[in-house]
Amino acid sequence: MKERTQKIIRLTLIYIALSTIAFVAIFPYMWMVLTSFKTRIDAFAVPPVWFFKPVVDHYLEAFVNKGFLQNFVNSLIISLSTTVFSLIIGVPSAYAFARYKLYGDHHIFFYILTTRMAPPITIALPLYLLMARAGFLNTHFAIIAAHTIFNLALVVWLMRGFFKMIPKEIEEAALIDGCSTLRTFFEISLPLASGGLAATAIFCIIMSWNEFLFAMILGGDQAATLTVAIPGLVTTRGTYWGQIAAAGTIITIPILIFFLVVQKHLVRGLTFGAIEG
Amino acid sequence: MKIVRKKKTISIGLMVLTMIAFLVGCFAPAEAVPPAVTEKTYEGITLRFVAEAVPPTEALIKLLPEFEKASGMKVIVEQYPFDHVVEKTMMDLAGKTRIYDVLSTPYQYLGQFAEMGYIVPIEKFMNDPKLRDLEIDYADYIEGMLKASAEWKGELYGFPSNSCIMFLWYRRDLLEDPVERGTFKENYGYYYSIPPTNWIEYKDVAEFFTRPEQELYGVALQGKRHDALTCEWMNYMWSFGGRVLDEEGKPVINSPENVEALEYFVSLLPFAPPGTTTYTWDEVTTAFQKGRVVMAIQWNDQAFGVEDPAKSEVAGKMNYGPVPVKKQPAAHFGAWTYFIPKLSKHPEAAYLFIQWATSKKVQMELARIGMVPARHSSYLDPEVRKIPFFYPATLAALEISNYRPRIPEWEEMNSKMMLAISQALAGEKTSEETLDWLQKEYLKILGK
Amino acid sequence: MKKRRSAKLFLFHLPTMITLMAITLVPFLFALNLSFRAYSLARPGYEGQFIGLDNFRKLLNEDPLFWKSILITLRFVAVAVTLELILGLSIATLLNQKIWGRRFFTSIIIVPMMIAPVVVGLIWSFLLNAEFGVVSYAIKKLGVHLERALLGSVNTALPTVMFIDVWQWTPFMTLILLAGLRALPIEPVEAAQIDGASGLQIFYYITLPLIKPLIFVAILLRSIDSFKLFDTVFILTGGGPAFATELASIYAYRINFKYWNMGYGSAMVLILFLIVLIGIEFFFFFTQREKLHKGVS
Repeated sequence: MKERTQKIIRLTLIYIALSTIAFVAIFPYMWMVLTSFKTRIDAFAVPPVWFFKPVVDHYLEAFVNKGFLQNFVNSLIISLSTTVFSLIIGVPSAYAFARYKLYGDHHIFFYILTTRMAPPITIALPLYLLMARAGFLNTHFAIIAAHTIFNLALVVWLMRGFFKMIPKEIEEAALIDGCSTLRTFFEISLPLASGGLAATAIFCIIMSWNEFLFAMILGGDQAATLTVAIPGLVTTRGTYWGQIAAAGTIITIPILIFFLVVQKHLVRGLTFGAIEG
Repeated sequence: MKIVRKKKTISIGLMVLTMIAFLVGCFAPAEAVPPAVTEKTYEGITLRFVAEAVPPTEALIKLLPEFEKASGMKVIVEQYPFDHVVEKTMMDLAGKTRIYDVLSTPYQYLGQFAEMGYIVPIEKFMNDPKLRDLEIDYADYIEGMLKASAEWKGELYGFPSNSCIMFLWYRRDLLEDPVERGTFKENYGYYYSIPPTNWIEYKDVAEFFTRPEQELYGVALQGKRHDALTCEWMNYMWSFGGRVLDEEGKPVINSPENVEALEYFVSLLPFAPPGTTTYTWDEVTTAFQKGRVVMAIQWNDQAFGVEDPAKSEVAGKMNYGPVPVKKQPAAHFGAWTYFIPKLSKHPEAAYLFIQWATSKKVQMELARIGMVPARHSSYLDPEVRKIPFFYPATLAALEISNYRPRIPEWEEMNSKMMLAISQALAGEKTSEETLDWLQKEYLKILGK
Repeated sequence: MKKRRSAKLFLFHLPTMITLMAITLVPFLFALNLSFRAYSLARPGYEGQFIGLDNFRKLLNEDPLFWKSILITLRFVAVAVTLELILGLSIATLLNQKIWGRRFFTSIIIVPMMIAPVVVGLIWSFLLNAEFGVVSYAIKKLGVHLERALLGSVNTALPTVMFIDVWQWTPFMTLILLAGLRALPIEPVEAAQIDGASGLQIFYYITLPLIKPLIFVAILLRSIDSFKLFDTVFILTGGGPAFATELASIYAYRINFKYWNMGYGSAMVLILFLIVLIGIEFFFFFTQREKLHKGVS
């Protein structure tokens, strides 16, 4: 009896704790979503209103009149492309790090890590000039290139861990059987690390989708992402909180969807990359 | 005989036609485009224009199709928030990447751009008969505005684009209320002017109306560490007789007048809402909208927000007047200017564009949606005259138009001033200490 | 056999190397070059002439604000990451319990991490707005009277910013640690339970040591990222009030993109980079020692 009461108390405490934490975590976001549907008076009302007549003005204003829909599409193009490129370039390198010790590869590995450590400002101006000279300013390509740099470190680091988790025996068996290195890589190693690939992909997409500095500097009117469009709502004429809320709501949804779908893999991804590092 | 008569008829006919065309060209509602320019002249040319993402820019974009049709060129507008417009513009100019053909930039960059050779004087375009709009009427520009925003070392570099000015906002209903006036007389011994005309009155009224239990405060200060802070404080500075640089361009920021102005500013803190150190112009407007504040030194273009009954609880209860005076009247002029980069790919087309954008017709349209026009004629427009804060208070303030230094080093000086004043407000330093520090910094910046 | 493999594998490295070299080495050298020059886009006379180590000397001797910003940043990173670690571990432990709905709770708890930093700054500005912010209102209702708004007072601004960072990034820690907890072998825990050890003892003597490597990596990742933090804080406070929240990244931004003093600014950014590098080296040093220890025991 006593044990059962203990168990109930324990469970209750856990639920209370988790609910409180969940509330703190989600409240700001929920409030933003609510605000996106409120008129300006309701949004600023004191005491705050929970029940109100919803309007979609802000969404229309932001996405139709101000063309945020175009920004949304740009963000999508850039994030997806970045992820694809980062994976294509980084995964083979990660595999090489995992499977074979090259003389001096510690240095290379560390150098890759430092690219992530550098404050983005270091690279901002020179990259701008580089892209300008090459004629790539205001194109999706420029931003994709910039994002790929920062993502490469992540890809190499994470995927190296995943590849190391695969027992060497499986690969060696294949090699003995006469498979070439390349075939082994594509037909054995890669499929076994697919969970890791998914996880890495999610991280890449998130980083690129939410990135601000380079999207702003290298973009223009052709390649403006959603993240860049939002601060434009804070003007010297006034801050359009309703539209900010609308844009903020929309910008978070694709990420949330991606995440919810791949949640299981993501958790695994973080571990294995981390432990080996 | 017949042939000669025919020829004569034709010539007379042609002359009449030309005269009519000329007259029509003169007096017809022109697209503010010179007769020499037709839709073929600039066909195929694309003008790239970078500007701040604000309603006046939006309005300008709406009016663009007429201009594009009349001249044949296409205009692409890139809009960014304040900070980032300047970043992108600077990168383009410094990196010589020739992306933008025409700019709209805060006017304090005038000195820097001119000295570094980034922009061109527009005199030659103004005098070019091919480009000159017949109706341009240069005398119609408000002189103070034009000088502040575009004149440097005797040369004109552009036209004012996005202008605004600061003055005094006050709650007419509260200040005029006889009960309040009576109680004030009892406590302070005199009747205040409506609105207060000097700083002593201003502070007394502020103190009188500060009633935290009623959620009411005398003033609101734009106290965040932000551009808004220096913009507001400079009104006090000028009013107290101080300035940033003397005639020779040497910094005098820690002059006794300035110290007095800063001490006064800090002394207003108890009469402002608790959140005032996080306020920029936006929050001051909101404070008024919610009826929390009685007076403030604020921008004129923000007044639309407070006069809109859909957004504001005090619509119709406000009025506007000049900044209180200690030694001289003051009004901080804030503006953006249209500039033409030296490396612009189409400088002439660029000139045509900015001429159009500041033409009488366009300025009138923009005035109606709340942009501060640069022309006297716009103020005479009956629609514009109806906007209470717009016409008298704005015009009066514009005649004063104090402008901040437009030297290249100003951005750094402005940034340090923000820090200095913020420290004074936070009580970390006294006004004298912080301005002494600022003076040392200014000497370093300008000395090197 | 190994030699053949090695040659082929080296080719695998090539795309990465080329990309990185091309796009990072060049800008890095560019910044390095600038740091030795007097180059400003705002001041005439700073055309890029070579001045040797002058920028660095000025930075080290004549710029107390820079060092103040470093201190603020270090304080920020230390407090925020520690809090995130403690909270993250606690939440991860909670989520590791076999209870109904833990997937649901996990999904909700990690939401803050998914929101763009710029949006986070704007949301919290809105919530903490002294006039109509919900959180400000709630604080008032709880009877706490604030003389100045949270973000407007030098005493509370930095803690508030820390709180927001913790709010946003604890989920990151939570996830890493949760994964670690889930991957732990069951046997040691069961054995200890049979031996009569209490929950707390098990946690301290068994669980904690086993996930130590993860903890170190989590700290490393978060420290690097929070050292670079910029967008959110810039929107929230602009570095103010006074100098209270002027993180190193904000100060560097100011020098580079407000003062346009890019020679000096490049030197500053390089020093920042160096500081992070040194920090990482120290960190790796400690983790290596841990590994050595484990090897011996």
